This record gives sequence, C-alpha cells and structure tokens, in this order.
Amino acid sequence: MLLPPLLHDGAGVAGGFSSGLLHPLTGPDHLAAMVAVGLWGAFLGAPAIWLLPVIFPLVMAVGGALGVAGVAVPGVETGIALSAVALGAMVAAAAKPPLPFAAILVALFAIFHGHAHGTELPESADALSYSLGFVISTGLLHLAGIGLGFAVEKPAGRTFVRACGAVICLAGLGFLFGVL
Amino acid sequence: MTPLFLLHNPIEGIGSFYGGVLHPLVVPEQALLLVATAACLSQQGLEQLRRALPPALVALVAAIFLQPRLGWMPPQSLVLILGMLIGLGVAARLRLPAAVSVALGLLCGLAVGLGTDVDTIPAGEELLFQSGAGIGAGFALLCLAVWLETAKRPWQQIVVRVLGSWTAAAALINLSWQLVQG
Repeated sequence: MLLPPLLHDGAGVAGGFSSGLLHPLTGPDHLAAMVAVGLWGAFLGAPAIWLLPVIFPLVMAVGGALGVAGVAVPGVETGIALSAVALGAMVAAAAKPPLPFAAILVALFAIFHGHAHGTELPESADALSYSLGFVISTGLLHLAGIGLGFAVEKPAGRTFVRACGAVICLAGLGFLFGVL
Repeated sequence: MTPLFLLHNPIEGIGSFYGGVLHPLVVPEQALLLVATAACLSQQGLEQLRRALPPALVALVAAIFLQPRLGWMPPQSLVLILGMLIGLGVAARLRLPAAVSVALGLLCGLAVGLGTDVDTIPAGEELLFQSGAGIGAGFALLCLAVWLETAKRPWQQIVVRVLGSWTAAAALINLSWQLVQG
C-alpha cells in the first residue's frame, strides 16, 4: 500500500498520476474545450480527426513547459475560455476551414491549456506521473469528443453534434464573462 | 520524486521478486520509454520487430545484472529525451531502417536495465528482484510491441500515433520540470 498521506496530497507515482488525471476533468472550461476539439475533428473528417488529437498534446506540452518554467503567457484564463467559445462555434457552424487553419487554431489554444496545467503542477507530485495523467486525461476527452462526433454521419446526429457545439460555445461565453 | 522504497516495494509485503516485476511500471520514465519503444518497433512491421526484439531483451537482462557492478545509472533526463524522441517518431509514424530499429531496441533495453538499481533491496534478495525486473520489463516490451503490431486498421494506427504524442508530451513537460528544479 502507498502511504495514505502520499495518496491524498498528490505525492508519489500513484498520487501524482491521479492528480494529473483529474486536473482536466475538474475544470469545466478545460473539459468543454477538449471535447470540442474531438467533435470538430470528427466534423472535419480525415486527416484532421487524427491530426488534431496528435498535435494538441504536443503543443500543450510546450505550453506546459512554459508554465513549469515560470514563463508568463498573457491571458491564459481568457485564452482557455475563448478556446471553448471558438471551438464550440466552429462545431455549431459545422465549419470546415482548410486543415492548416484548424491545426494552427487548435495549437494556439493548446498553449493556454498546457500553461495552466504546467503552472498548477503540484510541488509534492511526481512530475512525470502528473504530466502523464493530465496528457492521458486530455487525450481521452478528445476521444470522447470524437466518439460523440461520429454521430455526424446521420442527419439527426449532425444536428445533435452541432447543438453540443452551441452549448460549448455558450458555456465558453459564461466562463469568459465569469457567469459560470 | 517518488521515494526509492516505494519504487522497489510498491505494495507492502509483495516481496522482492514481484516488486521487481512491477518496477518498470512504477518508474514512470521507464514505463514511458518501454511504451514508446514498443509502439515505434510495432510500426516498423513484423519483420523488423523479429530482428529488433531479441537484442533488446538480451540487452535489458544483461544490463539489469551488470548494473550493480557498473554502479552507473543513466540520468533520468537522458531516458526522458530518448522516450520523447521515440514518441515523436511514433506520432509522425517514421519508417526506420532495420539497423535503426535494432539500435533503438538496444538503447531501450540498456536504459531500462541500467536504471534498475538494487541499492534498497534486502541483502540476499537482489537476484530475485533483478529476475523479476527482467521478466516484468521484458514481457511489457514484448507483449506491447507484438500486440500493437496487430493494430492494422486505420483507427488503430491513429491510436498508436496518439500514444506516441502522449509519451512525447509527458516527457517534454517532465524535462522542463527537471530543468527548473536543477
């Protein structure tokens, strides 16, 4: 058994991993934006459906590294809220811009999300297991979005996915203006 | 950092052999390197996998047993850089020459093996721990690589690439953490 204090304060391998795993899930702004990435990927189809979930963690790691190093990135919280607004709006509008545009937009927002995770890396945690936890959690949220996004193949499903995008966009506005 | 006694005896009373079996799983940089290498070798196809795995396993076992004599452990940052580069290769689905695949397998085996120290193992139980560590890491690499090699469908190959990006991302964040911590 790991010692109870190590589990509860996020220390050790198991504590660090579980802290990292829970971090994106406990922030509704992170959660909404990650699901939106997956939904949008499904809307855009191949190769975006696999390219976006591959690009996002890599660029997020760069943002995380900046956060860990204490490099200030202006407007992180605003950027995270805006990511939910923009990505939700893209899904709601069923927007299909050129792939480089989609990739750059997603990568830009990934910096903000990564920076927030990196800055909040607990002092006591095993850093690698924490980062593994939050990268995996982020990826699973993308996969959840992609899974939901497969509904676009049917007309009713397409409406449902677009409605999900609208809800995420509205939630993003709520985060942006401090209503949520 | 995780205390050494937890890495070598992650579950109280489990014993040195099973502690060794679990060792590569509770040392995150080793787990990360094993996953990245297995994914990378699996992407190269069965023929290259057949060539690369035996030397990797031999290097792993030899390094585990030579580690106490050599008394040298690869720095964690070196293992992470290796894991990050291999993870990036997996994300990009790089096709490698057979010789490079063999070299990657060897490097992985050596890095994991030399990173398995027996300093906190009770006297007389080192061999049990080392045997467990060899079996645990060896089976993890072998089973994961062979299993991922069967991932032939397009969506399965995407999952393998995503796995590569996750390992690269986690390694990069941790490297920056180490840099900041000095």
